[in-house]
Amino acid sequence: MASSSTSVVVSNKEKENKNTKKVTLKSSDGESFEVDESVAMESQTIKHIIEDGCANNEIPLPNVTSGILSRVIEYCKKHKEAAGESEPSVTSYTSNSTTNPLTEWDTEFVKVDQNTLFDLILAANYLDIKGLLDLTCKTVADMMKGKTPQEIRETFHIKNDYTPEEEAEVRKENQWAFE
Amino acid sequence: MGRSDLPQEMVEDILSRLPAKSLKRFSCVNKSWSTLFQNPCFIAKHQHLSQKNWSIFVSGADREANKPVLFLHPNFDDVAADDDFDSRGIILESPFLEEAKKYKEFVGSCINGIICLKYYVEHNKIHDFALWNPAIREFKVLPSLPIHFPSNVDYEDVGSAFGYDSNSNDFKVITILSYWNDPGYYVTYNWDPNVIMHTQVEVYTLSTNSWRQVDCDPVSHINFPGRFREIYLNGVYHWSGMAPGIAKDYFVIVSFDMRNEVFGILSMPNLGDILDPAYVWEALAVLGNCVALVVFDYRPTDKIFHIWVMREYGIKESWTKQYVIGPFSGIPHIAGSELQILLLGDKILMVENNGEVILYNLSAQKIKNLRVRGLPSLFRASQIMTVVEVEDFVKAQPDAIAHSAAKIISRLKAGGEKTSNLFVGDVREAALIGVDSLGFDLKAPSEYSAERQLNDLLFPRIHHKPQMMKQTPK
Repeated sequence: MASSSTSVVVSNKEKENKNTKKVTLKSSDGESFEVDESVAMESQTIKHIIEDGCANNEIPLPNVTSGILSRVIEYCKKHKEAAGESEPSVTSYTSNSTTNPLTEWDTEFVKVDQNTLFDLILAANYLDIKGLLDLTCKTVADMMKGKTPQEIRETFHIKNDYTPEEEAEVRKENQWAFE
Repeated sequence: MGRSDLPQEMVEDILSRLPAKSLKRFSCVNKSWSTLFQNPCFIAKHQHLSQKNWSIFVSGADREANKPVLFLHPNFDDVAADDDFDSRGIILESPFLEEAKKYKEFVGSCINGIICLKYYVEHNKIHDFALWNPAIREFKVLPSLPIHFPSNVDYEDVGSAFGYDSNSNDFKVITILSYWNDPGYYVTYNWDPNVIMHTQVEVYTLSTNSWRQVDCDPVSHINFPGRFREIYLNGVYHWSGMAPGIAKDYFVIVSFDMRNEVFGILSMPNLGDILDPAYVWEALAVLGNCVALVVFDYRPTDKIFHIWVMREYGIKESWTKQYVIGPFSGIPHIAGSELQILLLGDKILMVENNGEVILYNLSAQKIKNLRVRGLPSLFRASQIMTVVEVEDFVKAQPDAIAHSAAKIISRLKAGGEKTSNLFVGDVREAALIGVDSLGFDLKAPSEYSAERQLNDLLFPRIHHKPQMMKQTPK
């Protein structure tokens, strides 16, 4: 025990000297992921944990499975890299999404099944990663646009509490939206 | 396959990203969703998150048809260079009051689906305003402006503004009037130290349905130069104007904050080293989320545009010359009153009165020359954020209105006057209208709206009152 903790201390020091501080994130199913601290801090939740000095060796994330966590880490890594490269003067004054260099990568990233997408939303919310939350919510919204109300009920497990007459009335009021 | 474990907060977040049309369709999913869509907090969130579809809102008058026209243009991305572009818009039949109206003009732009109209009724001392929701074709005539100056004095309509107070969720209309205390002054313009200019500013709030005078001392000495030099950004209205200086007048930006109803003055950047202020044509615009200024010297045939951006609001030193573009040939060689300039994201549009458009892409540094057909003979273009897809706006068919008009009017006569009875004093309801905005429901006209022909629509772009020397009170 003593020896291992010593070795941990030593290796941490080494890493600090090399200037790549790392943290370990642990998923709900027990898998550990070692990532650069700066990447992990894309998550405001993790950032607060680290800044409050509660990080120690591992940060447990009981709400996130390993499959989802690995994807989230992939997202954070990619966006952290890109943030380091972009020129602020170009991006701040042309507020147009087509100038976002990661648009294509993001689009591929969210090409996943619906369950995974929903899990990503939950993870992004729990970990407080704004960019990922925006991306995933927007993807779901885009997917919803073409659906009928019944399909929406199925997607979200919503019970229809309108009587058939009431529903017909609401539809009639909003007839233009169905065309 | 379905999920019920998404927390309500997440579901709301997702819903707030949907276009208004989808929300309307999903009103029948279940009752709590329908209620949610009418909740003012949700509506505010929805508007805030909605895709920044910068569109061009063109309001104008069609001389031949004698009708008001409204257009909504998407970005001109799909149009190949040097093409003719058929403007996709509709001539709107708008409801109005019994008397023939003259000199109607749109104030500001479309906010949350509401449009503000200013008009002059013959023989009335002062102009009137109306708020109009084209989506449900209901309008509200504002109470008459209280007049605080003697009846024998003529006034100058300096400017108006239409805005939204996000703190109190209230629509506001502002009108700025000035008058000389000598009624003969307009005729002679002989400088007379006893003749003093007074400025009166009135603010109307929808929730109280009344006008109220506000302090305008900070700006009473400013000369507002007229139309097309106004922008509305982050709840603050801005006009460009001239302030009297020691040696000569200089440009300033006058601001009015809709929330606290306070005037302010912002400095313009120092242009003197590059441009001679006497020959400068300037326009205010919005770039990124900042106040921007487009200026050029209008004397040369080929013009070079300077675009300045005020990076930090209110800080003169933060004015940065962001772009210098050109030279552009073919810009009319006049004092610039016929040219309208819009910045949409990374594109700058220069729109001439005849429909010639120069579209310059700032990031790609490419120029497109377009000719837009079908624009009305007089128009004003402004950029707005839309919450509804442009396609929905455009698909509306004007014929449906023309045919239904007679039926609706007769139904109305039978059922009693409902035209001026809306925005039932409840501001929440006004906000509600915003979600439905611009979904021009022409295929299934609302039961409660009246449609009448607008006669004689003239937009006073050419209606100049001569600029006068304003005297600073000692």
